[in-house]
Amino acid sequence: MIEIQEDREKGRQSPFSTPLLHIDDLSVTFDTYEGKLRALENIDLKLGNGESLGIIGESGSGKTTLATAIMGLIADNAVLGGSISFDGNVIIDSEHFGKAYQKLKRRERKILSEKLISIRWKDISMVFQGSMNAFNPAYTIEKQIAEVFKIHTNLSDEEIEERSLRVIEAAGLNRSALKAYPHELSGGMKQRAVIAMALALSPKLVIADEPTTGLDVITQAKIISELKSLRGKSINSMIVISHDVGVVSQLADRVVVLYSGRIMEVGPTWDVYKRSLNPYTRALLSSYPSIDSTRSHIDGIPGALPDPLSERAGCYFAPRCKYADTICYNSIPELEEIIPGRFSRCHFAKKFLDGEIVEETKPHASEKKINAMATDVLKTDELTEYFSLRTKTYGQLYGKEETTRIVRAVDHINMDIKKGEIFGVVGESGSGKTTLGRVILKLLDATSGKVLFYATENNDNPDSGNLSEIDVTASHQRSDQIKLFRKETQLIFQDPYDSIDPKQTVFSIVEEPIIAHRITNDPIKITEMVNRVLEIVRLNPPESYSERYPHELSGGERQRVAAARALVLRPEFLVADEPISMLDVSLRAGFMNLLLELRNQFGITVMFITHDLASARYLCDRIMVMYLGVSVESGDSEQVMRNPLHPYTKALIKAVPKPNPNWDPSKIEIKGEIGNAIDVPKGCRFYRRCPYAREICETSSPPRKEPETGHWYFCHFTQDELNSYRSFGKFDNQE
Amino acid sequence: MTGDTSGENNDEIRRAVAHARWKYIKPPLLALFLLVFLPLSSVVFYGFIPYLTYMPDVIFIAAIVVIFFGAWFDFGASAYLKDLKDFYHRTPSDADMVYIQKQQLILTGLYILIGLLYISVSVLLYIILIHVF
Ligand SMILES: Nc1ncnc2c1ncn2[C@@H]1O[C@H](COP(=O)(O)OP(=O)(O)O)[C@@H](O)[C@H]1O
Ligand code: SF4
Ligand code: SF4
Ligand SMILES: [Mg+2]
Repeated sequence: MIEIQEDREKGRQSPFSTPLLHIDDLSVTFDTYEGKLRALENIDLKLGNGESLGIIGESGSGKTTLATAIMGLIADNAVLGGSISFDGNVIIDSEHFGKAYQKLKRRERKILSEKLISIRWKDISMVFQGSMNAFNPAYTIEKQIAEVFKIHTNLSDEEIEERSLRVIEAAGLNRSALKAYPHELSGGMKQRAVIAMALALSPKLVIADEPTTGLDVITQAKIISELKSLRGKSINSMIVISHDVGVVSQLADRVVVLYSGRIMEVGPTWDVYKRSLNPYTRALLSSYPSIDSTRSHIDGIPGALPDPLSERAGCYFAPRCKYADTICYNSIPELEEIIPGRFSRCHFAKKFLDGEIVEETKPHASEKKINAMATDVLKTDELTEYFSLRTKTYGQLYGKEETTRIVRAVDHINMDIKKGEIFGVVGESGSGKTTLGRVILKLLDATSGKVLFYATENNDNPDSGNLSEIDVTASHQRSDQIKLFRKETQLIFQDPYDSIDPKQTVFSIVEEPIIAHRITNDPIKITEMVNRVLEIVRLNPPESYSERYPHELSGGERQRVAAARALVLRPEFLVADEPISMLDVSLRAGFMNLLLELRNQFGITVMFITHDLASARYLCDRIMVMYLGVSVESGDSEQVMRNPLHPYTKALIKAVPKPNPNWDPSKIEIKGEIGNAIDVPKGCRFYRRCPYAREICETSSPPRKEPETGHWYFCHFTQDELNSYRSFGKFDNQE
Repeated sequence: MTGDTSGENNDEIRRAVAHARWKYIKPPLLALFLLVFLPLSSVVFYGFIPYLTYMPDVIFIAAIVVIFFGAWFDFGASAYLKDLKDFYHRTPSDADMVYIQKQQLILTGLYILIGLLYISVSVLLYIILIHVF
C-alpha cells in the first residue's frame, strides 16, 4: 500500500522562501462554563507566497478556529497565545485579541479595527463554512458584491459595476447571476458567487473553509476544478480546509493534519498521502472507502475524539492508536522534522520512515455472495409517489406558485431486494431516495403502484420456506398484516437526533419497540433483550450504557443506539437512510462494518440509502442509481462501479474527488444541477444535463437495456452508440 | 429566472389562501352554531329559562377555549416547512418566513374575532334572559 515515489516537483516551492503568513506558536483556549476548552495548541505554520495549504481533520479538531483566527475573528471568550504575522507584520497577538480585547482602550480598539478592515478582503479573504447560505435574501448578488468594493475602495459606481462583472465571470457564472436574488440561484451557483466575492479585491491569501461541503458530487467536482483553474490567476495563496481528503488533495500543495487542536503531520500533499509518518494520518486516510480500488477491509478508528474540556496528558491520539506505548501516555511528542519538509508528531515517526512498521491489508469482511436464486424479501411494482402541496390546506395557505405544483418524488420504480443482501440506493440529494424508503415502509401512502413484502411465517425456522406475501400498499394501517410488517421492518435515520428522544435513557429508547409491539411485559425478559441488542451493536458492557442519555454519547454511539432500537425485534428488513453521513470519517467504517456483520450473522436484509458512492461500493451487493424520482441504472455494485452504463452514473463516478494526482474534474461534461422533480422533462429525465442527448431523448422515455445479466440501464442508446456520439454543442454556453 | 408572477396566478393563490382560511375557521364557527342550536331541543322539555341561564356561561368558556386554541395552534406551518424540505428540497427564505408568520397572525386574529363572536352571543343570550324573563 505504501510505495515511496519521488514527487518533488509537486511539493512546489519551499515554504520558507518568503513566508506570506507565519503562525507562530498559536494557542487558542476558550473559557466556557464547563471549563477551559483547548481548541488549538502550539500551532506553528508558514505559508509561502503562491502556495496552497490544505488542512484536514475531523470535526472539532480546530480547523475553523484556526481559519477565523487568521482573519482576526476571535470569540470574546478566547485566550490567545503566540502570534500570526502576515507579510512580515504581526496582525494577531495575545495582547489585542480574544479576552484581552475587552481590556483595550477605545482608541486602541479603533486603531485595531481599522487595521483589520484594511487587511480583510484586500489582503486576506475567506469563504466561510456554509457561507452560501449567508447571503442577504433581500438584495441582489450584484448589490452584495458592490458592497465589498464600496467599503474597501474608492472606485466609482461604473468601475464597481465593471469589476463585479469581471469577478463573477472569473468564478464561472453568467452575468445574469448578478441581477439575481440569492434564492433564485442553485447551491453551486451561490457557492460560486461566494468565491467571486472573496476574490473581489484580489487578495493575496484566500481561505476556504469546507468550500464544497453540502454540495452534490458533480457540483463539488466543478467547484474544485474552478478553484484549481483560478490558482495562479485570481488566487495567489490559498488555505483549503476540509474533512474530505479527496478535496484537499486536489487543491493543496502541502497538507496539515490536525487532531484535537494539535498538528499531527505536515508535508507535501502527495508525499503525505503515499507514505504518511504519523499513525493518526494513516488511520484517517485508511478510513475512507475507496471508489476506484477493489474492496478491502477498512477499520476506521476505534473510540472517539478526546473530550477537549478534560485534562489530557501525553499524545492525544494514544487511546485510539494501535501503536501506542507507555511513553505515549506520559510524554507529549514534539512536532519534529523527520526528513526535510516532513513534520510529524509521534514518538515513533522515524520507524514509519524506515519501514519498520508496515500495515497489512485485510480482505473485505463481506464475501458472502447472494445468489440470483435467493428469495425476494421485498418487491416494488411501478411504485409511485406524487406529491402536491395544493391538496393540503396548509399548502394552500402558505404556498407560493412553485410549491403548489406536483412533485414527482418517486416515479414508477420497479425493484426487488433479495433475502440477506445489502441493496444500495444511490443518488444526489433530491433524487427521491428518502421518499422511496418511506413509501416502502408505508410511512407515506403510495400514490400508485405496489409494495410486496415476503414475511417468513415461522421465525424459529427461517429456512422452512413458508413465506406469506403482504401487499403493503393495499393493506389497511391497522390490519394484522401491517402489524407484522411493522415488526419485521425498521428504519434508521440520517440524524440520530431525529429518531431518538434526548430526554430518554438508552434503555427506554431501545425497549420502546418491545413495548409498542406488546412482545412481552416481563421486565427480566425485556432487560435481557435490550442488553443482548446493545451487545450486538457493540455498546459494551450494556449496563454502562443503558442508563445514559443521548447527549452523554458520541455521534457514533448515538447512531449505534438508533441501530439497537431498530434491531431489538430482530427485523427481517432494515432501511438505513444515510446513516453515516452525519458521522465523522473515522467512525463511518465502524458503522458500515456493523451492518455487514449483522447481515452475515443474522441474515438481515438492508436497504442502504446514500449519496456517497464509495461507501455504497464498500457495503452493497447490488445498487440502484436514482435520478429525479426514476431509477436509471441497477446492477451488482462492482459491475456498476467498474463499468457504469448510464451517462449519469458515468459522470457521478468520475466526479468523486480522489486522492490521486491524475483525477481531472474538468472532464465531467454534465451541466447544471439536479434541480427539482417538479418540471421534469417529458422524455428522459436526464435530458437537460446529458452530454449525449439527442432529439429523441426529449420526447420519448428511454427503454430498458440489459447488456449484462442483472445489470441494466434506461437510455435510448447502446454503449457503442454512446461511445461514438458526442454532444452537438447543445450546452456550449450555459452556466 | 423568476417564477411566473402573472396576475392570473396571483388571483389563483389569493383564492387558495381564502379557501384555506375558510377551512381553518369553519370548525369553530360550526361549533358555535351547534352550541347555540343543539341545546335548543332541550327547550321543549325544560323551557327557555334553564337554557338561558346555563348557555351564556358555557359559550363564554368555549370562547376562551377558542381564543387560546388560536393562539397556540400553528395552523400547519411546521408541517408545511417539513413538506417543503422533504419534497421541494427548499429551505424557506426570510421573506417566506415573514409571509408564513403573517398568514399565521391573520388566522390567530380571525380566531380571536371568532372568540369575540362567541362572547357576543353569550352576552346576547344573557341580555335576553334579563330583559325578557
Ligand atoms: N466561541 C467558542 N466557545 C467555546 N468553544 C468553542 C468556540 N468556538 C469553537 N469552540 C470549540 O473549539 C473546538 C474546535 O472547533 P472548530 O474550530 O469549529 O473545529 P472544526 O472546524 O475542525 O470542526 C470545538 O470543540 C468547538 O466546540
Ligand atoms: S505518539 Fe504514540 S500514541 Fe501518539 S501517534 Fe505516536 S505511537 Fe500513537
Ligand atoms: S436517453 Fe438520451 S438524455 Fe437520456 S441518458 Fe440516454 S442519451 Fe442521455
Ligand atoms: Mg469547521
